[in-house]
Amino acid sequence: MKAKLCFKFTCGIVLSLFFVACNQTSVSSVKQSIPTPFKNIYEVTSKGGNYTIIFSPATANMPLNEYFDMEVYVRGQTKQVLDYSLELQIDAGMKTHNHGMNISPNITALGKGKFKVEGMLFHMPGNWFLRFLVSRGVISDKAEINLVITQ
Amino acid sequence: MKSKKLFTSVGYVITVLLLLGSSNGFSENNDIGRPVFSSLEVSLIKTLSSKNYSKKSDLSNKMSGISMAISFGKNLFFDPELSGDGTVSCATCHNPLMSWGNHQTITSLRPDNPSTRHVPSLLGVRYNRWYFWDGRADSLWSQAIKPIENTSEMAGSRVQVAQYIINTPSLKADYEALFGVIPELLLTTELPNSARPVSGDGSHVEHQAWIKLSPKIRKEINRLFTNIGKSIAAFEETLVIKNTPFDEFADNITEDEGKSRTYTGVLSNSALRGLKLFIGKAGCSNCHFGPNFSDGEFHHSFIRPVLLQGDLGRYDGIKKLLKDPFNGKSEFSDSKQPTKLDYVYQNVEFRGQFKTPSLRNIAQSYPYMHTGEFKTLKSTIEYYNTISERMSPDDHQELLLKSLSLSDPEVNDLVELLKTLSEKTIRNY
Repeated sequence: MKAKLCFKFTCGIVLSLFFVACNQTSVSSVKQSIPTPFKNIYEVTSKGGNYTIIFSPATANMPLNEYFDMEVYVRGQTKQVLDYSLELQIDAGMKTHNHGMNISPNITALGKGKFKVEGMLFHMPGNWFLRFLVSRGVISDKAEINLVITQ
Repeated sequence: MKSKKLFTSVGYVITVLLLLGSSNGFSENNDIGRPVFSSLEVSLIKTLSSKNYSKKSDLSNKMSGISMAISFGKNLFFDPELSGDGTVSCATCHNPLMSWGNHQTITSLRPDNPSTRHVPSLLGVRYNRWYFWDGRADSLWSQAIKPIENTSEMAGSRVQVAQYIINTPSLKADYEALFGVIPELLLTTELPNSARPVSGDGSHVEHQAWIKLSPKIRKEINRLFTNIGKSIAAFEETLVIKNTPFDEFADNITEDEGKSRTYTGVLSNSALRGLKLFIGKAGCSNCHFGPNFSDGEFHHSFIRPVLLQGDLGRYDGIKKLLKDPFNGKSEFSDSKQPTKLDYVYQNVEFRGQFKTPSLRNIAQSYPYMHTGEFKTLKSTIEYYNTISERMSPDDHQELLLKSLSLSDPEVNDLVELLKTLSEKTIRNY
């Protein structure tokens, strides 16, 4: 019993380190087979390793100081479509400035882990973090990605 | 002997003047005083050109860009009869001869009820995302009508404005040509001389007069009042600054010229060094970017600690904006599209924040900051030089705003740059 727990704990640490490493990669424009009409697709793994977040802005780039919409797909660890409902919250900010977004985007669940996000706004140039909080009931997992917004 | 001494003195004075005439002691004709601009810096400079201004009209105002509305709005802008006592027009504070501001720290039109903030210039106002220093209006037309009823400003009322339009044949004709016939209901009802909703004072005589009017009449009055705002806004949209020496430089510089310092000499060496600082070390372009030199958003620049000052800026502005009966989601907006209001929310971070002003024509738009407390560009930049000392523990900790510690010549170079954001001749609007 003790050995089993220890194994689980060790696996947990290894997995966590793996996902921390994944999260430290910068923006990767990974083309995935998700049904989005948008061109730029970003991907990030949640810190707990439960989810892969795939998101795509409706604009050509992540624009500076212009409102834009996104599609977000919350998938499982291996990018499989999940068969249970989830809640998604989105936050963003500039750590070097110590402020967040000046707006709160509207997030609409479209089913099967797909979400429509309206009204995103990165109002200043520089380094932003974009954070996704995925909740299944009271159990949450978050993913964070760094974005450089240029003029 | 005497003449030789005099000659030597004159030579000395000339030499000193030549040295003083250029910052850092560099001659204006010497390449040493001209900065190199990298490819990235050249591309940043080009983003600041007026050529990048949006061509979009205001969808919430169907009068946007309509020449007849611009003309009608211009007449209204200069008309003191829109005020309660017939003495104050929009132009009283937004004086065309004073860069469409008034050069006063705080305006005191009504000594018993003074304003609390500095009058901003209207140049480039069409490119704002939000209006007023605290962003309590989300369109230029909904901004334009608020000073009419502000008791610190024009101290009038919407019913008085309606009466004035209805009873002045030339204005009534112009209004009806733009907006259609004024409803019979308004023409046949005996309206009070003055009436308006007075927030927080239900016993106010003008409020009492307002609520005695039927809902249908109140709606028609509001319609007419917002149409007046849309006409004034159509005129104010024409107030722009586009053809400055800076724009000429930004439009013409190439990457190769930036690297080799062979760009043409529209700007002085001092202004060029100021530009290098502006987009680099001084960090001005973190907030003052794009063709309007503003992010159009809000920041706390520690002019007053929020708890002592009592002016919460954007924090209160959001409350007022969401309650504004003339905001972009109201029935008076000409657009039914989703609006930026859908994404507005309240956050304690917003306490003490005020809107980033445009820097176009800034040399003529003194004094500076929302309190108007700095009389010169130099003193404003020097404030940012020591800004860390002004942050109090109760303020939101804006880590970006740290003392710049620029040298005196660097401050002067930034001032010289800012002077290039004005047009060479005063435009006749």
